Amino acid sequence: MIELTPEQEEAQSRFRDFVDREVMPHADEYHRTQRLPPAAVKRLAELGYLGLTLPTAVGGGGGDVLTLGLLAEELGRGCSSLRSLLTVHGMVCHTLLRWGTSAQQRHWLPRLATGEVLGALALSEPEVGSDAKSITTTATASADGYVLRGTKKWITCGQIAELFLVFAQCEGQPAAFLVERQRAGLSTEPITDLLGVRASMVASVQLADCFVPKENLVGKLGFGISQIGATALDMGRYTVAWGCVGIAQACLDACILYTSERQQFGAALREHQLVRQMVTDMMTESTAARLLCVRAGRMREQRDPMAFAATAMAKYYASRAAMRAAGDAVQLHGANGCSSAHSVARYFGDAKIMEIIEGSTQIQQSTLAEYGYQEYGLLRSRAEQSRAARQQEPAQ
Amino acid sequence: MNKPSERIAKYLTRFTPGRVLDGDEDLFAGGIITSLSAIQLLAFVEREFQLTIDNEDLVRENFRTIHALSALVERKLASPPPVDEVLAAGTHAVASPRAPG
Repeated sequence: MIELTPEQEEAQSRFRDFVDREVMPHADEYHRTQRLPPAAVKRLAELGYLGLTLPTAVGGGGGDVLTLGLLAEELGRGCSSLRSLLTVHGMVCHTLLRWGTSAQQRHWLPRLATGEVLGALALSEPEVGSDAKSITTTATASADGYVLRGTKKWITCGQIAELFLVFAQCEGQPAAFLVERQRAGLSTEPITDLLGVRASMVASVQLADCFVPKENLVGKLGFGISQIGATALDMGRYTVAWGCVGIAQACLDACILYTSERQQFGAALREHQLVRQMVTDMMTESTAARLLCVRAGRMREQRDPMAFAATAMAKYYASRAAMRAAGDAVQLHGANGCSSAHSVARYFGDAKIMEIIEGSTQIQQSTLAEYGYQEYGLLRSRAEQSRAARQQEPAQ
Repeated sequence: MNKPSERIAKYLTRFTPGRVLDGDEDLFAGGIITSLSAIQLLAFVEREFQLTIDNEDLVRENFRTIHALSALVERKLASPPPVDEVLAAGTHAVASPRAPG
């Protein structure tokens, strides 16, 4: 359906096989116990998935953007919590690769590439979500570094990450800092019983007079949100979007199986037209979402200035498609779909989270149109050309 | 249309329909550079001129006017950064990978 190189096809096949054999059998248990076993994380690291797109020179896989998307889709199909780990770790890796100092890159990228160190993004706060520029965590400059004070909340993998990319206000200027788990003053507390991605080891992070040396500043003061945060969230949206395609595909797969075998009114559910309509919508929307993700990936490869918009659009559409698919999947499974005996209940909770993280549906709805309006000047000049051409036509 | 300033000015017209920007016009004060357009402009400059905007370049003054940005581009084109041994294999492995295989 999508044009892949032989290497990408081979990688996709490997990812699919890994998820079928090693993720799907355990994902419901991860969800139930609300934890990712260390062995599962270790396995991702062993396979090179945590450093897939980092340069080979730092121990990464040197993989391409589309292959990363294929991995995120497959992980999302199997377990959104595991995909969340890939996302937040990737956000830290990518941001350091893009904006880290040479010393930060040399120290951290080899460790992040192998999974020896897990990264997490610490942006959200108890009172600050979408309005990231209003974060209240502070960084006070001292003689040789910064002292961080504040609380971060809803930090995916906050329970297990060893390296946090923390956003704070430094003398009124947004800034980003690397904070190692062992720093004095940093502590984490698990957040449990979430609606979805329940195994993603979410935590709140307390920063109580937590000192970091000045070398831990990432980027420049004042660019913490507009560039550093934007880079991280853009990368996050990309793998979240692909993960949503995976959720939608998992819903579709589950429904094809279930409605082919479940009998009601003397016939398989699949024979009922209203059931078929839901399956048709799932097929169509998951396909459309995947194509938007591929488009975003190709534009990112080409460093297209509109890649940021294409990624946001893919995330917007794919998260809503996943939510609709999961809603219909639960509906088609009936009471079974509401129980822990079927994975569709997990998909339902996971899909709702996808509509909230990395730029909520409503944030995307209000910002994406801006890119459309950027075409106004071009459209107006074309309209004027058409009008002029019409006026020059001889009267009939 | 070869000078960086002209290429940048042409690109920026998408944010100022019907108006050609003066090279010394303050892009921040005029609301032309917003959080969204800044990211696009940065990506445009990197792709158009085949260069990488570094941390050191992230200075507001470098982006304040078309002339200032053009000067940054010309400086960077005149003195390409030294190749970093560690990342020589692909600083842009994520943003701009080589073809698989």
